Order: sequence, then C-alpha cells, then structure tokens
Amino acid sequence: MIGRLAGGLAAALSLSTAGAAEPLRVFSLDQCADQYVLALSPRSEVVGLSPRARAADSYLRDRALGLPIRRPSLEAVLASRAGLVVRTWGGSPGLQRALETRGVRVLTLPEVNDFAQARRALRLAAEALGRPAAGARLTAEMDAKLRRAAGAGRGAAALYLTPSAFTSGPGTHIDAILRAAGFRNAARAAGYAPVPLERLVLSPPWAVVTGFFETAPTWRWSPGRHPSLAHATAGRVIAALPGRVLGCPGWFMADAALSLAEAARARRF
Amino acid sequence: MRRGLVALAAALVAALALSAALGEVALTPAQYVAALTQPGSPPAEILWAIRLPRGLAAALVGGALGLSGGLMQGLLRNPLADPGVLGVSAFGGLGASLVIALGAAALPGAVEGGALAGALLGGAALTGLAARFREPEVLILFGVALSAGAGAGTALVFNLAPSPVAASEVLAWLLGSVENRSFADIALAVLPLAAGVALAAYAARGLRQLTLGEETAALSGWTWDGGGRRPWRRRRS
Repeated sequence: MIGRLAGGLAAALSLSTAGAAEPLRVFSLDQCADQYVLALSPRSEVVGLSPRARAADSYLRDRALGLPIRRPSLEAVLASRAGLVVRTWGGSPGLQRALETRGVRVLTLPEVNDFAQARRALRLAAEALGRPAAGARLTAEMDAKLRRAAGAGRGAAALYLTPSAFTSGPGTHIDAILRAAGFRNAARAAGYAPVPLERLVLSPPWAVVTGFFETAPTWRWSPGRHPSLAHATAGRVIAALPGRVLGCPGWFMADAALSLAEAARARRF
Repeated sequence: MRRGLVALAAALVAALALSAALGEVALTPAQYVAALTQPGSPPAEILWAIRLPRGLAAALVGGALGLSGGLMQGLLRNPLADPGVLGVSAFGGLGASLVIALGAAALPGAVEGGALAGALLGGAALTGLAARFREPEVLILFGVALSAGAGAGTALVFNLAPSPVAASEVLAWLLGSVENRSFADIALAVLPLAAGVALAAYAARGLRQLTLGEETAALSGWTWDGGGRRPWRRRRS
C-alpha cells in the first residue's frame, strides 16, 4: 500500500514537473527559418528573429511585428538565453559549433526544392518546436492548395523570370511550383541561369511567370527595368508572383502554385 | 593636337559601332539588314534599344570620368590624380550604400539622392578642411584621408548589411554597369553631365595656366582666393 502511494506520489510529482517544464526559447538565424518559427511557435517562446523577418519578401512578416529582431551572432543568441536555434542558410558553421559546445541545440532544416522536401522540413521543424499538430495542419493546408492548383496550366511551357532575367530550371523550388500548377518549365538547364535580354527579344517565350518584379526598381542594373523586356513579354505574363511566396522554399510554395493556377484559369489558359 | 582629336573621335565612333554590332546574341547578316531597314523588328530592338544606349552610356560616363580626371590633374598639378582622389566619389558611394542597406532602394531616386548627398557632404568636408591651405599636397592628403574614411564606412555597411541580398545590391551599385541602360537612363544623366562640362569649361583657362606652375599662373593674372566660390580667379589689374 505504502509502495503504491509512494509510486503515485512520484508519478504525480513527475507529471507536475513535466507540466511546469520551462517553455522553449527559440531563436531563428535567417529569414527562411523565421517562417517556420513564426508559423509554429507561440509568440512567448520566440526570443529572436533574423533582421529580415519583417522584410517585404518575408511570408509571415506581419506576425514578426512586435517580436525581437536580433543579429545572427553568438553574442545575440547567448544573451537571449535561447534553448533552440533554428536555421536554414543563416549563421556560419563556426557559429553552429560554438553554440553546440555551449549546450544550445541547433536545428538545421534540410534543403527544400520540391513539395515532398517541404513536407519533411515542416515535420522536422514542428517536432523540434514541440508543435507536431500545427505542422500536420499546415501540411494538410498545403496539400489542399496543391489539389486546387493541379492541372491549371494544361501542360503548357512557361518561363519563370526574375528582374535580373534569371530563370529556374529543373531541381529548383520554382520548377516544383510551375509543375504543381500544371505547367511545363520552359527552362531546360538544371538550377538557376541568366536569360540574355537579347535572346528574350529575339525569341520571346510563349508564356512567362514573373517573380520578385515588385522589387525591380531596387536592381538598378537589371534587365527588369529595361523597356525591351517589357516589350518582349507584353501580353505573355500569366502571373506576377510576389517575392514573399518565392523568397524561401517552404510549405507556402503552395500559395505560389495556387496563385499561378488561379491566374491561368482567369485567363482561360 | 587637332589631328589627335580627330583620330580619337574616329576611334570613339568605331567603338560605338562595334558595341552596337556585338552582343549576347550573334545576329545573322539578314538580321542586321532587318535591324537597319525594319524599325520595330526584334533585331532593330536589339540594335537600337539595347546595344546603342549601352554604347552611348559607356561613352558618356567614360568621357565624364576622363574630364574629371583631367580637372583633378590640373587642379592638383599631379598627373596621377583621378576623379576618386579627393574622396568625393567615396562619400557618394557611402551615401548610396547606406540607403540600400536601410531598405529604401525601391523608392524612386532614393539611392541617387543618397549618393548625391554623400558626395556633397564629402565635398563640403574637403572644402572646409583643405581650402585654407595653399599647397595642393594638403588637398590630396585630406582627400585620401576622406576617401579612406568613406571606404571604411562602406565596408561597415557591408558588414552590417541585413542580408546577402542587400550586400549584393550595394556591391552591384558600387561596381556600376552600362548594361541594360535605356535612352531614359541616358536622358537622366545628360543634364548633370552637361552641367559638369559647363563648369569644367568655366574653370579650364585657370587650370590650364596652373599646369605650368603657380608662379606662371600668377604671372598670367590668376591668383588663389582662399578656396571661395572661385578658388582660382583672374586678378584685376
């Protein structure tokens, strides 16, 4: 009897300790990691976001308002007493080593170039942040958007173009977005490559999907400001996707795919 | 002298023609013919709207830099002087870098305004510091110091840039390019360049005398007035 009571007391104490466990203190090192933290972590757990969390091309920039913005430095992370640091490309390997030797857990999210990788990255982030249900909900929303986007392009070839006249070939998240909306990528070479302005003028693509063109005035030397590019693509732009859904590869690539699909259907593509 | 100028002008025209003939895409002879005979055709767009403004922009900017270099060499009596020696362009670069790093680059004219404000600040600092001294070496030394200071400031902007994207925007602006220029860009640059040419022409006679030495300039009636609006002016006899 006494043994049972002692066991029950121990279990109760253990539960109570678990319930009173200190909340996570989460620090994000770069804009792409910011999105996972902003989407999944409670605001009270966020002790640091990257300096670009509130930038115009940050998908969840509105949620970043009021949260601490800190430089991705060892000093800033240690001063914030972060327990978990989330990163994609931000912070140097040296910073990661320095944090880990001081007992700070660092979660480096895997590269995302398609929707299967986006699901995996979301699951890993949600588990590390202790919010697996929220991660599953976002994954379900992403899949629902992908179902709505599917087939809109009817297999037509479309060329993705940035203000710097760069395009994205197979193996990139842009390629995944185009295919999710039912388009075929007109860029054949893998990865990112420039498209000469003169080539665009001489052989204009049949259909164009632009990205980041709201930032074109920023790039003083880019073809995106040149009148010849506007002439070459006039009437051929299916959708102008904003940087906020393209800047980081993640579950919100589905938003880009859905926008593209809706634009294509509106044009009776 | 005149023969040399004619040769240089001919070389400039040849360079412009070559610049219009060559580009990212190799045009066929038929496309060159189309460019010359069919306005509005894609080859014409390439030749007249892409390549010609690029060549003209290079000629204009190169001419302006050459003129600035000539002025600096005359003023400082140093054949190695260049437009950047007084630190004014370094301050211009710092002003533009700050605007870009602070995220205001998308505002029309903000970067150019920042560069102009920086250049004016650098020029004012130089005038305030160095104009009291007669020796051109003082001007050069202050200029080098200001240039180094502004360069360090720009390096700091790189270090504190909020993202690699912002840093690459700053770098692209500092390097500059004549690629992707349109006639609108050239129109924007022509007025300030013309003002610079007019000021240079105004100062030319005094500077020309100065290249022969201060004493010769003084003997010819040109004198130092202490760094006022007209540092070298003709003495009233």
